[in-house]
Amino acid sequence: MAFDWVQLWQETSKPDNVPILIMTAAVGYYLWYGFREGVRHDRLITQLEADPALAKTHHRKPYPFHPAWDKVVHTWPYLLRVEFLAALIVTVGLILWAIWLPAPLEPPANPTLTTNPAKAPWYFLGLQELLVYFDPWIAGVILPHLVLGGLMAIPYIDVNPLGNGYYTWRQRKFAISTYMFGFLVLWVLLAIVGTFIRGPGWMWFWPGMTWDAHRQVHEVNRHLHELFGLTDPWVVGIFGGLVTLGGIGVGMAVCDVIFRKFKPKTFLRQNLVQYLITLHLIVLMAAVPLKIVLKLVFNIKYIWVTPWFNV
Amino acid sequence: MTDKSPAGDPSVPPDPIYQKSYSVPIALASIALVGSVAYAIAQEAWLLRPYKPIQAQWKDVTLTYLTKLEKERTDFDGALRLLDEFKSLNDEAAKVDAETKDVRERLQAEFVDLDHEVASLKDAIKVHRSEISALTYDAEHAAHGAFESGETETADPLKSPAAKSSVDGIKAVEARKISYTWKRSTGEVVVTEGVAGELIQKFVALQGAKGRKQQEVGVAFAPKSAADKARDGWIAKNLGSIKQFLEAPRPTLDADGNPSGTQEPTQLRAAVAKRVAEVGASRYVDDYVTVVSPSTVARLREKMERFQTGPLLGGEIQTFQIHVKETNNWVDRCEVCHLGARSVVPMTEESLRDAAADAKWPASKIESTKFSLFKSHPRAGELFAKHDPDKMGCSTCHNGNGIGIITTELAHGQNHDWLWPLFPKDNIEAGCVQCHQGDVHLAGGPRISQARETFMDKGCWGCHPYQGYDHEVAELTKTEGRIKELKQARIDKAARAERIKDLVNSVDDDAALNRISPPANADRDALTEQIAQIDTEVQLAERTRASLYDERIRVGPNLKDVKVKWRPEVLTDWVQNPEKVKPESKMPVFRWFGDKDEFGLFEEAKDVAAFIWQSAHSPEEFPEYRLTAPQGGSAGRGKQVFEKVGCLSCHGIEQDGKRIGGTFASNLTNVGDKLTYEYAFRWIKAPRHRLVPYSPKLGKDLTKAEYEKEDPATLVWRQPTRMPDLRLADDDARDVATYLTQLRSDTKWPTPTWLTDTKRFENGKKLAVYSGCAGCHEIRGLESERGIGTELTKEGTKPLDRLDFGHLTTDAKRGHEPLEDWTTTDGHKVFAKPEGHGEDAHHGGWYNSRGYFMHKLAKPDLYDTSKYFADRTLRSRMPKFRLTKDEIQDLTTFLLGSVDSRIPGSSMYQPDEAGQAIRDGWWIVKRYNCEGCHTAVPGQVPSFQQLPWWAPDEKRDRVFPPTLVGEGFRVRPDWIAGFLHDPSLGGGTDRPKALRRHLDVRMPTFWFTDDEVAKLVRYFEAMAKQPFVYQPPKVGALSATEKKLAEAIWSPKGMNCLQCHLAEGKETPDAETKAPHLGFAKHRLKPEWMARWIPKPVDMQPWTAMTSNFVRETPDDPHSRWIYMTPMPEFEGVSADHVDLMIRWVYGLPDAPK
Repeated sequence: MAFDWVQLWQETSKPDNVPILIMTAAVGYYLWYGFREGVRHDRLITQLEADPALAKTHHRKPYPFHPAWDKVVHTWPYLLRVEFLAALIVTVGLILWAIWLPAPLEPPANPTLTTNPAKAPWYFLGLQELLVYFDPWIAGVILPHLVLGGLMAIPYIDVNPLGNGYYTWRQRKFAISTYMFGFLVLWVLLAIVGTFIRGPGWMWFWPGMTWDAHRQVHEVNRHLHELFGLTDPWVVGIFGGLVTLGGIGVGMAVCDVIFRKFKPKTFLRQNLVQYLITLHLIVLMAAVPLKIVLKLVFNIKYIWVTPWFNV
Repeated sequence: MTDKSPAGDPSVPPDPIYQKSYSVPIALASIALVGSVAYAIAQEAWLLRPYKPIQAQWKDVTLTYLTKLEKERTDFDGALRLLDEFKSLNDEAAKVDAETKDVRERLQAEFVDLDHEVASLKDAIKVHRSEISALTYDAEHAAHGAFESGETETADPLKSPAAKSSVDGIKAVEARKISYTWKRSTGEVVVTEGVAGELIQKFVALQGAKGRKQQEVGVAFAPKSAADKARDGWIAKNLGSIKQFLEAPRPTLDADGNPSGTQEPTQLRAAVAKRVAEVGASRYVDDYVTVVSPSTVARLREKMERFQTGPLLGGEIQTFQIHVKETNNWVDRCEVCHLGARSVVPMTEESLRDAAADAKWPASKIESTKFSLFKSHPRAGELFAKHDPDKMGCSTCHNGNGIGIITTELAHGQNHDWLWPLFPKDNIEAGCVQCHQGDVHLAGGPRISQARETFMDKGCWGCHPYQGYDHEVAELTKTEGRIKELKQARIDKAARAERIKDLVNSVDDDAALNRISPPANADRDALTEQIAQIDTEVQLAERTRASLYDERIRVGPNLKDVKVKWRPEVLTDWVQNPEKVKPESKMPVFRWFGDKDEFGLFEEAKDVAAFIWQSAHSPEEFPEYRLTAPQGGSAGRGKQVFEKVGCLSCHGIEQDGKRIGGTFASNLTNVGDKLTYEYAFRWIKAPRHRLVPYSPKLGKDLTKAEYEKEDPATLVWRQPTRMPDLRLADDDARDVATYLTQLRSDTKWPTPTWLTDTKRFENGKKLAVYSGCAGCHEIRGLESERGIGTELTKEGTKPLDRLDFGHLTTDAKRGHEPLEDWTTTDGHKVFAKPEGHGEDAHHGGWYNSRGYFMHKLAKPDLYDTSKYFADRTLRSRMPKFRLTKDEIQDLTTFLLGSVDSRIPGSSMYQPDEAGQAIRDGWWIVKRYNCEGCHTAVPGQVPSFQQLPWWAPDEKRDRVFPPTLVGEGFRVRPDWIAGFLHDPSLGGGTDRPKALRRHLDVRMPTFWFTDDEVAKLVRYFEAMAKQPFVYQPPKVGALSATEKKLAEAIWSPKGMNCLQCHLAEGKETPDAETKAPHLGFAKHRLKPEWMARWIPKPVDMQPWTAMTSNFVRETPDDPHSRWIYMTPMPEFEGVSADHVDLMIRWVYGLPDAPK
C-alpha cells in the first residue's frame, strides 16, 4: 500500500494538533539546550576537579567572568525585562494563533452519534492512551496520583547534594535519566502516539496508513491467569496478587542490588523510608512500559483480575 | 548589593547582563504586539466580515442599475407623453386647468384670507374667552349654591344676586375693546378692532365660513383633478405596456441636447425581438419590463445612495436578519450578502451586467463583481406569496447555515460539520418536500413533481417503502397483525374455558360443586360471548384485508398467469436481462453470478425462471386457466383499433423506426415475442379481473369449489394492475390481439427444457425471495412478502455514517470519481469533472448524501466494489434501472428532500379541506395516468395529443378527450361519480361510448373502489374551487312562447345545435358531430356553468369549436340580458334572458335512449 501523505497531512495540519507539534519541537529544543549546557558544565567540573588551585579562584561557571562584574544579578530590572520580552513574544504569538487557527467546531451535538475516534484534548491523550493498557481506575486515578505524589516526594528523597543551580549531566545522571524516562517516554511519547498513531476505533495506524473506520483487526486479549489455565475467581485473584505484588517485590529487590552496587552513595544517604519509596517508585515506573509491552506484543490485558479492580 | 556597572572603564569587558541592552528586541516585540492587536481589530471590524465589501459592491451595482432603469423609465415616460392619446388627455387637462383657473385662484385666495383671519382672531380672543369661561362657572356655581341653600329664589345666574358680581364681570370682559391683525393673501395687513363679545361670535361664524369655503374650493378643483387623474392614470396603465413600448416614438436630441423631433423605434423593436428569442416571452415580460414608475425608481435610487455598510463604531447599523421566534427561534442572515433577494424592482444577472456595461465599467471591474449574488429571487411573486420569508426564513427551504456569515462555505453549510449543506441548483426543489410530502403533484414545483412521478413509474416503491406510495401495504401489515392478535386471543380464551370446564368436572363433592358451578358457568358464558365477539372482529378484519388487497396495485404483472401468458422460450432471457428482450422495459436488470450455459444463460437465471414457471397456475389445477379466444382476427384492423381507441395514451410502440405513444405503461414493440394470443385476448377484454380469486385468509388462490364456500367479501377478485377495461367488443379485441401477437422480432430462442425441472425450484425460490421479486410482482406463496429495500421516507436525514460507501469512502472524501466515464441512456456524462470550481463543483469530494444517492442510482452495486462476499446472497440486491440524467437528478432531489424536518409541526403547511382533497386526488390521478388522455392542469399536454398523426391545427373537440380543467365547475359531482364507475353508463361493450359518441378514443372502465371515486370527485370540486356539497339550483320549465323561441334558436335557422351535438332528433354521430349528447345535460351539467359557457365558450376553452351567438341587449352593459344575435320573430313576448332560456330548454331534453 502506498504511503498516504494526504492522511498524514490531514492529521498534522489540524489546528487541534498545533500545541502538540509545538510541544514536540519545544521538547526537542530544550533537551538539546539542557544537554549542551550540561556538557559544558561537566567539562568545567572535570577541569576544576583536576586542578584544585584553579578551583579556588574560579567563578564556577563555564561562561566568562570578570572580577569587576557583579556576582549577583538583581531581579529588577534584569530578570523582569527578559520575562517581559518573553511575555510580549508569547502574546503576539497567541494573538496571531487565535486569528489564524480558530478552534474548530464539531457538528451539532447528537447523543446517538459518537465521533470516531473520540479523542480527549491533547494534554490528556497520554492518559487516554494509557487506558488501552490499564484499567481506568489505575490509568486514570492511581497512575496520575502516583505521578503527582512522586513529583512531590522528589525533594524528600533526593539526597544528591550536587547539581543544585546549574546544568549538569555527570553529577545527576540518575535523576535526569529517571525524569527523562518518566516525561519523554511515559508522557510525551504516549501523547504523540495518542494523537498521530491512534485512529478510528483507537486502532493502531502507522504514519502513512489511511484512517479507515471500517478496518478490522484480529486481536484476542487474554489475561495473564488464562495463560496458566486458571479459572476460579479466588485462585485468579490470589494469583494476580502474587504476580503483581511479588513482581514489585522482586523488582525492588533487583533494584536494591543494583543500587547497592552502582549507587552506593544514595543507598547510604537515604534512610529506610526514603529508600523504600525510591525503589518503589522506580519499580512502578518501570512496570508501566513493561505492561505496555505485554499488551502490545503479547496481547495480555490484565495481570491481576479481581471483581473490584484490575491491574 | 550595589549595582556595579563600570561603564566608563575601557579595560573591563562589558557585563553580559548588566550592560546588555534589550531595547531593540523589546521595541520590536512591542511593535509586533501593537501590530497584531491592530490586526486583530481589523479582523473583527473588516476582514472577518467579507460581506462588507460585498455590500459596497451591491451599492455600486444597484445604483448603476437603478440609474439606468430610471433613465429608461423616464425615457419611456417621455416617449409615452409623445403619443397622441396622451397629448389629447394632456391638452384636455390643460384646457380644464385654464378654464377653471380664475375661479380656483379666487376661491383659494378667499380661503387663505379666511384662514389667516380665523387664526389671528383666535389668538386675540383666547384669553378673554378663557376668562369668560371661568366667570361663567363662578356665576353658575354661585347661583346654584345660593338657590340650594335657600338664600335666593331663583337659580338663574342672570337673575340671582349671588351671581351678580360674576355676571357683571362677564359683561365687563365682553365689553373690552380688542383688536387683531391679519394678513391677506395679497400681503395687505388688516387691523380690525372690536368688542370682545362680538369678536367671539364673529370667530365662530368665520369658522363656519371657512369650512364652506373649503368645500367650494374642492368643487372648483374637481374638474382639474379628474382631468389630471385621467392623464396620469393613463400613464400608469401603460407604463408596462409592451405595445406602447414598441410604438411610442422616441424624442431625438439636437446638438444642444434639446428635444428636436421624434424618431420611430425600429431598432428598439429589433432589440426586443432578439431578447425575446433568447429568453422567451414570459421571461422577458418578467425580467425586462417593470411597471414601476420613474418616481418610484428615483426614490429607490435615492434610498440606495443613502445606504451604508456601517462603519466599525457607531453609524447606522443595518440588520439583514430574519428571526422567526415561532419556528424554534430560526435565524437567517442570508440577506447580508444576497442583498437583492427581495428587491422591489426585479433584477436579473443579465440586466445587472447590461447596466454595468452601459455605464462603461472597466472590464476588470465587471470581471470581479459577482452579479449573480445580487439578483432578486426567481419567481418571487408566486413563491413569496405563499412562503413569506419573514415567517419562514430562507434556510428552511434552501438548507445551509443561516446564521453563518464569515465565509461563503460556512454560510452555505459546506463544511463537514454542518449536516444540512445548501442544496445545489440541480436539487433546488428538495426543500419543498419536507412540508409537501403528501403532494405527489406540487403546483409550482415542476422538478419535484417529475421526481415523484418517476418514483412511481419506475416502481421504486415496490421495494422501498415510502409514505403515501404504498399505504395499502402499511395498512395490510397492521390488519394482518391485528388478525394474528385476535386469533391468538381466541385460542387463549378457548383454552381458558376448557380449563374451567375441567375444573368443574374434577370436583366430586356435591356441596363444593354447588358452590363452584354458578361462578364457573358465569365465567364460561362470558368467555363464550367474548369469543363470539372476536370471531366477528376477525371476520371484519378479513374483509378489510381483502379489500386492501383489492385496492393495492403492484409495480409489475401478476406472475401466476405466466404459464398461460408467456411463450416459455423467452422467459429465461427476460428474467436474466429484460432490456435485451425489450429495450424500454420497466423491469430493471438484476445481477447474476455463477455458471453460464452455451446460450449465455446463467444457471441462476434458469433457476429463477423455473421457479416462476412452476409456481404459476396451470389449466390442470384451475380450469379457468384453460383460455380460449376467437380466431380469424385481422391484424390490419387491429392496428387501426389499437391506434384509435386510446391504447397509446399509456403504452408506447415503435412504428417506422420511431417511438410513439406514452411512457406510463409498457412498450409493446415486439410484444408478440412473449405474449400468447389467447392471453392477449383475455387480458384486453378484462385486465382488472382475475381468473381465480385470491383469499388472503387462506393464503392461496381458490378453485370454484373452494371459493363458493367462502365469504365473498374476503375474496380478492381485482388484479393488481392499473390497466383499465376498454370495453372492446369481441371482434375488436380479437383483432387487436391478433395485431399485437404478430409484432415479433426474428430472434431465435432455445427450447427451455429447464423450466419444468423441479430440482431448480428451491434455489429459484431462494433467489427470488432474496432479489425481492415479490415486492413488485404477485407470486404464488409469496403474496404477503414486502419489498426488500430500506424505507426512504426520511432518507435525507440518514447520518452520513450510516450510508455504506464501502471501500469508496476515502475516494469519495477526496473527490476521486469512479464513474467519470459513465453515461446515461440519453448520452450524458453525469459524473464528469466539472469545469472550473463553480458552485456546483463537488467541493473536493462526493462524500455526502447527494453523492451517495447519485452514484447509487447510476450503478447500484457500486458500493460492492472490492468487497469479499462469502455467499452471493450477501451482495447488494438493488437492480440496475435505465435512468436519464434528469431522472437521476430528480430522484436525488426527492431523496435529499425526504427528511425528518427541523421545522416544528405547528409551523408546517396544513392544507385545509380543499387542499387535502386536491392532494388525495392527485395520488389517484398520477396512479391511473389520467394525464395520458386528459389535460389536468393548464399547460399540460396529454400523451394522446402528442401522437404524430395529429395535425398541428387539429380540431380538438372532434378527436381529443375533453379537458379536465374546470371539470368540477362544469359537471355535477354525482354525475362524475357515476361516470367514473361506468363511463359507458350501462352500455357495456355493446354501446361503449355514451356521452361523446363521435370520438374514436373512449374512456375505459377503471373499476375504481368507492373510496377512489369519492376522492376524485372531491378533487375535481376542490380544483375548481367549488363547495363540496353541491346545491343544485332549480331549473324551471318553459312557457309556450319561450318554448317557441328556444326551439327556434335550437333549430337549423338559429344556432343549429344538432349540427355538432347529439340529442333527441339526432342520436347517431356523423362527420359534423363534435360535442356531447345533450340528453345527459340535465343530470350532468351545472346550470351556473352553462350560463357562462353558452354565451361565450371561447372565454373558457379558447380552442372550442362552439360558436358565440349571443350578445348583450344593451352593448357594454354587463347587467342587461343576453339575446340571440340574430333577431327572430319569436323574440316577441319573451322577456327572459335567452341564455337562461336555452339552459331550461336543454334541461328539458329527454334522456338518451338505452
